[in-house]
Amino acid sequence: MTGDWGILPPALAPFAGAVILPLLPKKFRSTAFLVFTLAALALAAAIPDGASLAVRLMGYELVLLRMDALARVFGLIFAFIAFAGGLYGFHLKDAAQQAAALLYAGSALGVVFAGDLFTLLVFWEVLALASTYLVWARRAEESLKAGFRYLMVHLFGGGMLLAGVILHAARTGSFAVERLTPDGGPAVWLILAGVALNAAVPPIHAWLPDAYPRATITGAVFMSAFTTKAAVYVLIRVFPGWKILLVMGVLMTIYGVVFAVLADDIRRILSYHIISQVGYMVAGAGLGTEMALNGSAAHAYSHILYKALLFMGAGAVIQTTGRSKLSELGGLAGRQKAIFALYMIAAFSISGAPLFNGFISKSMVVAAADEAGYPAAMLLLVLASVGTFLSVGLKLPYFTWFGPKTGAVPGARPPRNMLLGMGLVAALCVGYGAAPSLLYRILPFPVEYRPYTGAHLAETIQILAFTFAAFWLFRKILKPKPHELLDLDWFYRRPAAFFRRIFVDAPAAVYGWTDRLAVALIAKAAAFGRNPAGAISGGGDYSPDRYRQTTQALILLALGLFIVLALAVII
Amino acid sequence: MKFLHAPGFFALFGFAGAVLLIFGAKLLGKLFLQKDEGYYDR
Repeated sequence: MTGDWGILPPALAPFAGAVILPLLPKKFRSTAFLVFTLAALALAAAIPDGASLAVRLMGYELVLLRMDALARVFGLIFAFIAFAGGLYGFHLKDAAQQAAALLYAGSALGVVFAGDLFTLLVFWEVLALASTYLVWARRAEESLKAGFRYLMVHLFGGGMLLAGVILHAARTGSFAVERLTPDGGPAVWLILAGVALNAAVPPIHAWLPDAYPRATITGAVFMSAFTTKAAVYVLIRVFPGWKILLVMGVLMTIYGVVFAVLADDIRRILSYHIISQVGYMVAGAGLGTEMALNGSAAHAYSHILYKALLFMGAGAVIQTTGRSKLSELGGLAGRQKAIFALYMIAAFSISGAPLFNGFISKSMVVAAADEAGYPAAMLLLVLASVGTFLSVGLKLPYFTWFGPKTGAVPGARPPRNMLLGMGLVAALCVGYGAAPSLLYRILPFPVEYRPYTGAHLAETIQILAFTFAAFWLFRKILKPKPHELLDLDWFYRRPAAFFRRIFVDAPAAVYGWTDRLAVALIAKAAAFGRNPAGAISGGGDYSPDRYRQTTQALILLALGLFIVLALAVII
Repeated sequence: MKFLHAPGFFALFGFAGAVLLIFGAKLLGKLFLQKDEGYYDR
């Protein structure tokens, strides 16, 4: 081992928790969850910059920990949201799900602090496996299927990453997690594709809105935080300034909001807005300036808070009503004032309203695009912001808590710990929005950006007010109807039936046919062996008298024939 | 980009943008994105 002894990688705490928690008595498990995530948070905060920890394994050096400012931003927020998620899910009595969530949080921390590509890759795969369980743990048939699709897609992404890492190491001899340039041959593009898949960059994004709405209520909270943001971290670290990321990022922001306008399931709407919000971070990585990279990291930090809170709010609605579609919800505000209020804090945050944390981070990326000389990108990012307020800030809450009643009744009150978890995250959304320097001072580069200027405030308030006006005018059009919303997962879901026919049903039919044929042939052969004559004539049981006369006649005929033949030869 | 600083530009942008997104998305939905429930089971 090299590096500072006595320094433990933050990932170790949740991993230890995942092993120990299922062994504890039931009533201590949720508390243990909080303790282990809090330990990870303490480690992420306490380990000094520049610290590293490496172990030698078969002549190869695994860098399990490499601490610097960028890794710390992500490490802190990952550990915090794992803790908040644990509070929100404190009532859970499902050790497997709790262990999977700890494993998931640990692997996200592992990715962030990994100093070499091989270590990163290992955590990357654990990330996929642990999160798959959070989909399966819902124990519905559609969750089982969606979980398999999710796993397949992520194993494919992990495969691309592995291939890229091997090619890259073969070419350069380096396993370091460091900046790559586009001229690195197919290796770097394979690594980029593998990472982009986890960042849900179209066209390899459809796994996200497919699986997240089908995950467990608490599982989706963790999923909204870890997978995509761990990928964003790698994009900032390894691919800063790749212009393709600017293009894809801006595209993502719009793509997500368009689909969210149509979506009916509340967690599907939120899922599309993960894609949209991650687009800002991808675009920031693509811009590559110090301000843009700061903005990207800051927005990831803000996003994890408000997006977890949004999923917590949606989860509380599902928990209390048993329904998840806007077309089956409505008029719940009177009975769910606290859930509604906490949800709206997150909704204002994601919409970038002043005094909420989205305002201080999203605008950094937008301003960075403007400053770097991409006004078109800047305007498209603002347009996506309009769409965000439209769907998450207006459509979703209006048709859930107001709007026409559809018979949804909030049953039991949500567990108190759910509201406590939401309250904690909401406090940070508002806290960082009101005091941006708390966030700015932990960013990787010095910040000169000032969000609270007259022009920026005026601009934001105009946008929000007039988006609201448009929503109010056309809210009847926006009313969701039950439907299946197609996305690019069509390409592997729809042909599934076709491929099943060709590769499963058709061979099965051929096997069945040959099977029946063989059995029939053998039956025939057996019957023939037992009774050839009966088998040919189709007659019943064999009787020696039945053919006596015919046989006599035939023998006489043959005998006569031979006599005639013999006489003919003699004469 | 002078027009960005025109008074009320972002009010117009917000309204027009929202309308564009609503009707654009609905059009795409009608054309090919929205199918009946159970589409993937058939």
